[in-house]
Amino acid sequence: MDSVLRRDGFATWKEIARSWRPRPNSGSLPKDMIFVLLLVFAQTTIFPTLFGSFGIFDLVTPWIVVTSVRQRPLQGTIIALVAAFALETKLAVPAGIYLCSYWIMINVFFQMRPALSWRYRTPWVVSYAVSALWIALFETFVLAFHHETWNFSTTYVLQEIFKIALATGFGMYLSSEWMRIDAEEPVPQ
Amino acid sequence: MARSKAKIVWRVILGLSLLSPFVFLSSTLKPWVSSSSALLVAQEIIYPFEYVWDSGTRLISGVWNHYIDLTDVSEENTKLTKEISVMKSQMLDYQEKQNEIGRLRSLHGFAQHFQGTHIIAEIVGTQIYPSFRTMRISKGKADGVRIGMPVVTAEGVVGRIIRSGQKFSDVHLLVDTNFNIDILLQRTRIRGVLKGSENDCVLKLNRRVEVRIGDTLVTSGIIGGFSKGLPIGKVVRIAYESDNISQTITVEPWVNFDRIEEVIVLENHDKELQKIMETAGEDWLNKPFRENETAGG
Repeated sequence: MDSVLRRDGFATWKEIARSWRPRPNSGSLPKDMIFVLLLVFAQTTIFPTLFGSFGIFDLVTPWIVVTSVRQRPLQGTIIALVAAFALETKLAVPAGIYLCSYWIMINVFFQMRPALSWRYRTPWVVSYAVSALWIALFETFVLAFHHETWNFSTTYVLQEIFKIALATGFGMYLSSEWMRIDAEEPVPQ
Repeated sequence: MARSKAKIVWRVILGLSLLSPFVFLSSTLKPWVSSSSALLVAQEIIYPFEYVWDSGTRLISGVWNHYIDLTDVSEENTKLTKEISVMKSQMLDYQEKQNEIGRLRSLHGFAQHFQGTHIIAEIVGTQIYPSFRTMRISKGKADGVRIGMPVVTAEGVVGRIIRSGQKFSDVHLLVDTNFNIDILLQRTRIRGVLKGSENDCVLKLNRRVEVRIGDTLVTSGIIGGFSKGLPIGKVVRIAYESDNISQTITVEPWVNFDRIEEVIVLENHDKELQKIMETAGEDWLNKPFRENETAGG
C-alpha cells in the first residue's frame, strides 16, 4: 500500500515537473511568460557571469521564433513584447530596439507560417538563422546610427556570427519535437 | 468574406510593424529611464531570481576562494610580507622627507620676510664642548659664508658664524657662555646685553626695570650684524640680587638647539667685527677660546 502511495506521489511530482519543463509552448500563457522571463534572466545574468565576454548569447530570438510559429497571434505578440521589454529594461540599449525588431519578426512569421511545412529541418534552420541575423543587423544598424563612429572590428563580426550560429543551434534543439514523423502539426489550425 | 477581412487586418498590422523602426529611429534613442515599478514590471518579476543567483554565486565563489582555492595564498603571503617591509621603510623615508619639506617651507617663509640675501645650510655636526658650543653647517666660504654672519631659523636667533671653511662653517651658539648679543625687551623696549649660559641665556638689568615672566626678547639691531626684531627667547625666571640693585633674568631661547636641522645664514655682515678682523686677522677671534681650551686641557 505504502509503495503504491509512494509511486503515486512520485508520479505527481513527475507530472508537475513535466508541466513546468521550460519550453516555448507550455499551453499556458502565464507559464510561457515566466519561462521567457527566466530565459531573459539566463541570457542577461547567468551566462555573462559564467562565461564573461564569451557568454553573450542570443537565446530569446529562437524562443520567440518558436513562439511565433506555435502560439496564437495574440499570445505570441504578448510573449514577444514581454521578452523585448524585459531585455530593454535590463540592458542599456535604446528604448524600443527589441520591441520594434521582435514585433516585425513575429508579424512576418504570423503571415508566412501557414505557407511552410514545419516538419522539415530547412524552414526551422532558415527561420532561426534569418531571425538571429535580423536582430544582429538591426542592433548593429542602431548602434552605428546612434554612435555615428562605430568600429566594425573582426572580433565584433566573429562574435555576431557565433551568436547567430548558437541561436540557430538552440532553436533546432527547441523545435526537435516537431520534426518527428509522428509529431503534431506545430502551427495552430 | 471574414477571412479576407482578417487578411486585411493582418496586413495592416504587418505594415504598422514595418513602420515602427522609423518611429523608433526618430526617437531619442535613450535607454528606459524610470524608477516606476509599473514600467519595470518584468524586472520586478526577475529580481528575486537575480538576487538568489547573485547571493548564490557570491557564496560559492567566497567559499571557493577563502576555503578551497588556497594554493597560492602562502606564496602570496610571503610576497606581501616582503612588500610590506619595503613599503614600511619607504614610508619612514617619506615621513622624513615630509618633515624636511615642512622645515624648509617654514625657513623659506621666514627668509621671504628678510630683506637681505641669505644662505640656507644644513647642520652637519654639533660640538657639545661645555665652554664653546658650536654647530657645523654645510656651507662655507665657497658659498659666500663669512665670519660674523648671523645665523637664524624660523623660530629665532641661533648664533653667529665664528669660523668658516671652504665648504663648512661653525656657528657660535646663542647659549654659549662667550656669546653676547644686544637685545630689546619687546614689550617695554628696554635694551640690554644677553649672555649665553649653557642651556639658557642670562640678562642682567637694573632692578627697577619692569620685566614679566613670558616677556619676549628680540634683537636690537644695533651691533652684532643681527637685524632688528629677530626673536630670541622668552623670560622664564627673574631673580633679584642681594645687592638690591640688579635683577638676573633667565631667558629660554625660542630655538631648540637639539632639534635644529637647517638654518639660514643672513648675509648681514657685522661691520665692526669685519674691521677688527681686517686689522688683527682671522686668528684674533679664535684666540680667547684657544686659551680656554689650553686651560681646560
